Amino acid sequence: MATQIVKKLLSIIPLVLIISIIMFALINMLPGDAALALLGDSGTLEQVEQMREELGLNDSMPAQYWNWLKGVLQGDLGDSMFTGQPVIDRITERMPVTFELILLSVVFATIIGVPLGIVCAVKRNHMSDYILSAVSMVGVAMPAFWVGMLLIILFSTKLHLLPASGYVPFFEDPLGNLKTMVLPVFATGIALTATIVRQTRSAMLDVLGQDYMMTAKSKGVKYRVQLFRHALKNALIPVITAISMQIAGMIGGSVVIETVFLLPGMGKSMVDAIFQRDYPIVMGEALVIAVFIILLNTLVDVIYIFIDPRISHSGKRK
Amino acid sequence: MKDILIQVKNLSTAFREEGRVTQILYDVNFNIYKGEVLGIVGESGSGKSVTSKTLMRLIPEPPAQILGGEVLFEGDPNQNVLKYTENQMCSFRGEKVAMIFQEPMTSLNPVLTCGYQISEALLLHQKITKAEAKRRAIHMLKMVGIQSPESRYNCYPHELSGGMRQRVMIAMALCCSPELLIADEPTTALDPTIQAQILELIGDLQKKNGMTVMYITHDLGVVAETCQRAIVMYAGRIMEVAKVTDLFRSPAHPYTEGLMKAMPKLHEKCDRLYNIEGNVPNFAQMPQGCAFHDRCPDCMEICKTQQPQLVEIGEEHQVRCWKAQQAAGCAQGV
Repeated sequence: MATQIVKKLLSIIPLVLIISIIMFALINMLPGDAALALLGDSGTLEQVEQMREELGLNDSMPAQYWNWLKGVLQGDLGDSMFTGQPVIDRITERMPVTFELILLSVVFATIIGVPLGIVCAVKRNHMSDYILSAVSMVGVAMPAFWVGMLLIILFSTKLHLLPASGYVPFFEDPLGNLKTMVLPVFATGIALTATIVRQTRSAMLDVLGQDYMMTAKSKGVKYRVQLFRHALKNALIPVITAISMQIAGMIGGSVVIETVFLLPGMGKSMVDAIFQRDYPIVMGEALVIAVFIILLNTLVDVIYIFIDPRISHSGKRK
Repeated sequence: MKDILIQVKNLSTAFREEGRVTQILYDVNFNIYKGEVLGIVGESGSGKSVTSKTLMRLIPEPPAQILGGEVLFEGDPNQNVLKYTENQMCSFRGEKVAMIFQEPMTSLNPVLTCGYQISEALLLHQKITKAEAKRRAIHMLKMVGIQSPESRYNCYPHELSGGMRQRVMIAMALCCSPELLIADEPTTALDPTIQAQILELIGDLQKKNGMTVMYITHDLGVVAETCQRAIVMYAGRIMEVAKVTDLFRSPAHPYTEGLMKAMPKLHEKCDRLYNIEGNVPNFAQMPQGCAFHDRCPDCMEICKTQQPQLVEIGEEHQVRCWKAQQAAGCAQGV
């Protein structure tokens, strides 16, 4: 299995290379560039041209890409064209915020969603199933930014329980950090919880109808053990797949929540950088996100191997 | 008098779907005696599987619903399985009665090792340590003829062939030495060589342990080879009960006769196999009178209007048929 993981990790290299080329091409297709954005309307044509020369924007596209790549290979992601801040600093500053948001949301949604999904499956076609299914349908349908604003109105402006915005790093003030994260986590977590409830419900229903559940019952296995030992492990595979796909989507979606709650996260940083045509920042952060998603997929593959013995080490299902 | 292991009295089961109730079993009565091998024969949809699953209360309720009747363990009126609590049921299943199923490919849990699935049953019903359970599970694997049982103990079901999985199922069912083994078409999904091996294995273990076996099958060959008594079911009713020798020598019910004729015979040449005209009736629209009358070659007027009862026509030979009753001279039989 170890060699499998190593192979998976090695596949990051070509993938990241391809992603970076596509990203670079896309940014360059956008009208305007950093020189125009920096100088705004006040700059004369000559000033803009001079700025372009300074920033290296007049080189051909392949040359610009090569310059960037050379830096990356030497461990230098470059500096922001606007502030001059090294990109690596910007990433280490912003990344923890987004990752904390995603991690807490996933933990929250899993802890709530999986048990509720099991309840739905067990109480199928009972009142509790109908209510939970309806609520989760609503949860999936609600946009996160709207939930976020409602939460701010209720918990911050009306009840004054939690801060509406702002961020304190966890290591400076753990309690204060968690306080600022409660509402954002809730806002992103609700849709995820609802998805997990629905996935768990349908996976459990599928598994409960399988022949081996009848076998377990015929052995005299108690109902609770049937559910958790025999059924849940089988049902978790589609649930984990759904969660991992949701996480990948959450990275893109984090910009919305970060804007609503004024969190200094990576999503917001990336969008700002795109508007400013700040290429080094966009490229650096895209790189980090790409690596993160590939690592996430590798982790999920490893989890599959532990849960389902039929998934062989070569990653194929027998 | 033989000792009764399980007495089934007036058992009726129905399925309830979207408010409609469809009765599947109609007043099923029979006994299972200690140490015997009993076969339940019938076409698909005759209610034989439902009978066995109702016995162990494995049938999902809802949609199924047991309308009435009793299943008495050892014929004791105080031991009605249908009135057991969930806890009593858990110690009844696996310990007193065990079951093996038709589909070995899907009847084992794919994410648990075979060894775990066997020792789990042992740990449930016997006060032993995990190490002892493992030792006995390996012993069981050896008994059902699995090569190198120690290494197979840690195998997952997908690493075994269909025949091996059915052996694991048998090991699992027999590990707590149940008094009754219900085998629900245990060989249908296996190829003929393996079929014979599995039947032989069950037969050997039955003789060795003095266990009672109930075969559910549509294969009269299996019945002839393995069973002492047989019950013929049709449309949720018992049509005929007899010793296997009597059943094959002198079948009393036209349906049983039809089944016999439909069997290919080695020593006779024939171009086309006999088949019973028509289909099993739809459970939602049972014909009036005898359930078999519209397919029966010997149908009489009375068959179309009145249901025959199950009547004794010989020693341990009961039949539900007007014609057979008249022939036996007990036409009153109501």
